[in-house]
Amino acid sequence: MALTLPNVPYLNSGIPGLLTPHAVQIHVTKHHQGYITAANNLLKGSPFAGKSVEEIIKAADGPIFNNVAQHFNHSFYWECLTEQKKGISEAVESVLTKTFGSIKDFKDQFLQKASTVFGSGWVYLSKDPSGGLVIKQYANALNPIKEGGIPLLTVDAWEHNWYIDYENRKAEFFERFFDHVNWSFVELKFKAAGLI
Amino acid sequence: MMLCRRGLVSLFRYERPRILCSGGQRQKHTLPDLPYDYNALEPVISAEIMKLHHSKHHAAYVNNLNIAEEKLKEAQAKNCVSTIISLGPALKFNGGGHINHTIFWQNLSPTGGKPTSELEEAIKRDFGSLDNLKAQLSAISVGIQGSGWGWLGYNKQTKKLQLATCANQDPLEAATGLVPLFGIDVWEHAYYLQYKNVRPDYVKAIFDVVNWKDVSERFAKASHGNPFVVDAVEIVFINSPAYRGLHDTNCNADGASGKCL
Repeated sequence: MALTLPNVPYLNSGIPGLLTPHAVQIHVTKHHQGYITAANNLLKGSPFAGKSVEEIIKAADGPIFNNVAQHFNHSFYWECLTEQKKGISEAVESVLTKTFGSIKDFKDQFLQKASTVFGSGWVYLSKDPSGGLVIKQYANALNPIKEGGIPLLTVDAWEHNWYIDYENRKAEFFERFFDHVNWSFVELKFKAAGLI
Repeated sequence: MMLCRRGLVSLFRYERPRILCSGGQRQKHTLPDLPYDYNALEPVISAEIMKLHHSKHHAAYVNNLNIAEEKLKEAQAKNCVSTIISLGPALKFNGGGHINHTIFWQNLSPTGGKPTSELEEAIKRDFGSLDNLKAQLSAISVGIQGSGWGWLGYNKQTKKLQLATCANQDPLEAATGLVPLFGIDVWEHAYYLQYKNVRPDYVKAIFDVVNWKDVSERFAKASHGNPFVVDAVEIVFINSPAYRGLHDTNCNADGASGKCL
């Protein structure tokens, strides 16, 4: 089945205090849609046609990997954001505190990774194959699935993510990002990963 | 009003910034002035993009290079090898960003003219025609995944022009041994405010503002300049897997015709 854009609830409203509607619309309807269109064209008649996104990410490389992985990365990222501020549940907070010391330490480490990507990429909090929680940088289209991990939270560290609204001031974007994380979604991911 | 220091540039003849190896006391790196106004490359590149790209992005590479070099100096003074090694990525990224952008500003001009007959001959010999060169350089630049640079370089070993791509800010010469002649910055910050996600339109348009005088001078210097600056042994070493592994660069310079894997 062909890949399609997910529903992005804040596509027309943007995320007040973080991203303007214009920035969200270009990101979703141009960039994300561009990866989907390219992926669907490449998948036609390829050995990966009909496989799940996760299977393709694990097995493919080159343009098929890049476009399908970017579809996954963006779809996951849209879910990690919300226009309604949501607090961290006690269960998630407890796991993060256990690994990183405190929520502030977790935030500091996550933002430090995000602001020091050398080029384009993604930063993920994930459950690594050995079961531990890790914050890691991934170049370009890479993500934790490729290495057998389970994604829990991500932020897009490609310049197009903030450039319309923040230009070169990426630190400002990342700082605000943290106030708009959809912790309900993250909690679901923690549950599915058996962390809580 | 444009904020770049055109007045100063006009009064005192514009001098190429010197960032390549030179002797003497180490000084802090500084942001070079642009050899033209921020709006000089319009409509191909807007004044807004040029101003941010030069006064914010390039300036950040310069500042962070100076910071990394300070840390390096401290680590050397303490003979702390582990710290020296850990500074590698920051030095490569920020040093590369400074080198690449310094070349890039000189590579562009609203009145860039044409390649010299000597460069034109080499282009015909190695690519068939200038149009072929543009088409091949455009294709590899558009195809870069993520951030990076597309390059026309000169291979001193084969004495041919050669195309290459480098990821992020990996500097061409340190990574491949090719002498940089003309670079296309395909980081999104180089075109996003104007071209958004349509990188091919930006790459196509940039050929309208190539400073062929500068590119020709670089070619002349690389092909006739001091032939002993980089000798064959050094090139072989630079191109060896051991060196690439050591420096973890992501440049692809396979094939004199610019074939990009």
